[in-house]
Amino acid sequence: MTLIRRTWQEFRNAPWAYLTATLVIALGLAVFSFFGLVYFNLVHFTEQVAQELVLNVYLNPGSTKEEAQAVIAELEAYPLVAKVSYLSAEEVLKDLEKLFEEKDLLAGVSLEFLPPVLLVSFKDPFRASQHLKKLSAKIAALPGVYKVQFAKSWLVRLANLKRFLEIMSLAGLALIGLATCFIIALVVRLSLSQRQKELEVLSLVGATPGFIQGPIIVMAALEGAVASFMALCLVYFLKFYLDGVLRDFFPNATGALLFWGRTELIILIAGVILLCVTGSYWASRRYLRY
Amino acid sequence: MEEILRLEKVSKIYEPHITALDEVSFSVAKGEFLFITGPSGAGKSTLLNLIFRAETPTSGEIYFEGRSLSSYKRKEIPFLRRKIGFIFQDFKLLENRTVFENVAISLVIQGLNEGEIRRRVVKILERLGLGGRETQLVKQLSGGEKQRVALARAVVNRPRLLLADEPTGNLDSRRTEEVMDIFEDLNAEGTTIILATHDEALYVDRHRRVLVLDQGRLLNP
Repeated sequence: MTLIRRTWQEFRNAPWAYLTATLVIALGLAVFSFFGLVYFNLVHFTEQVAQELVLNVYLNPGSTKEEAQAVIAELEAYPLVAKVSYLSAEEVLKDLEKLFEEKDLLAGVSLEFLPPVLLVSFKDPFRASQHLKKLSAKIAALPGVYKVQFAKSWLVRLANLKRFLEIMSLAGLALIGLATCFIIALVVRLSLSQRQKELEVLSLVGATPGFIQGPIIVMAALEGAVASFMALCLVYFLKFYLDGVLRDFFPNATGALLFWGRTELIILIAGVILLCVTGSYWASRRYLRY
Repeated sequence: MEEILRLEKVSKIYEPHITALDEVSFSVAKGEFLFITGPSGAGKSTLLNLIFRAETPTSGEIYFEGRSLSSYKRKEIPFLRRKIGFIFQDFKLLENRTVFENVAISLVIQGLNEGEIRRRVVKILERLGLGGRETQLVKQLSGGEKQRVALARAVVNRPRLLLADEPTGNLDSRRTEEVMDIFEDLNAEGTTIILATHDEALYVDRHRRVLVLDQGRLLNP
């Protein structure tokens, strides 16, 4: 009899045990993957906010384009710098006009007194924040640079918030992960313990471990795959729903919540399948009388 | 006569200090029909379990067809058990499966084709008076019928050695006689049989060798 036929027979012998186990595993996994997504989205959110915090390099009023280019080249040579944007004195004035509703306030401001600005954003703002003091001192010494400003206090606060979220979320995720592993192992074991006598009898009448455990292991792999699929579908629809809710709360928000990437999905599904298979292997091995 | 089984000073001690068997030695010839008797707790079931390799002795050695059982690796044990049929005292049947499925297990695990399995199972069930009961669930059978299903499962793959632990314990005198006749027939066909019983009526007047166990010791080696 082929392994597929015996696996089908295995399912027919205890369909409710397998279906219940699959549902319980799916629910446990859904909770784990949902909190995983919460963690990733929180960390991503703080990173996005940090990306918007930039280093402002004010050039001397009336600086030439060549002087600005030299400073840009110096900044771009720095490995953590993602982008350098140049704002001319005219653009700075326009920004100021947008900022102040009282037009009279800017009536006497001459373009000659306004410094052009270089806006510097970083690939990893939290890592860059540790080097900003040194970098700004170096940039401040360049010819043509009037002043360097950065929102270090905000970056430090954000970095602390990110660290706090990381510790709390990772600790929670680890606990939920452990609970999920425990649930999966327990469910697999309990579903097999109902069939202890059958496994014992098979081993006593001369069935090989491969004959007995083969269909059980295939069923465990299928159980893990189906449970993962169900859990991830559930979490995906939950994310879809939350995207809509967040759009209602923050009408200006453009991005959607993050979902697991392909690598994470493969690792998650493979991990669950592996857990089910090893759990089934060791649980069924206990009942074999050799 | 060629021997099929030999036990050399086999002891079994269950921790902390229960001696189930104490230096038991004997041999069994091919084709022999041997009775092992003794009171409850004498060590009969333990002895059969050791021969079947369901348990391992604390000391001593058991040889089946010339090979020491302790030399069998874990993966080889199923193949050893296919040569030895065992009728367990508690039957060890799958209650929620049919009579046919219970008996066929012994053949399915060996990869026989479905036609051959059906032919052999039906034949043995008819021989044991269970013809037409193939589709009945085991949990619906009486104790005597279960006993016969257990017997059918043990002999359907034509084992070289048949171990029977109190095989008539649940049967009335008529069924007991029928089962004993089946054992005699199997033995006449060449199957070596070791039958453990405390029922003296089973072996008197049969002119077979009888080993008596008491408190783990063999009284007539």
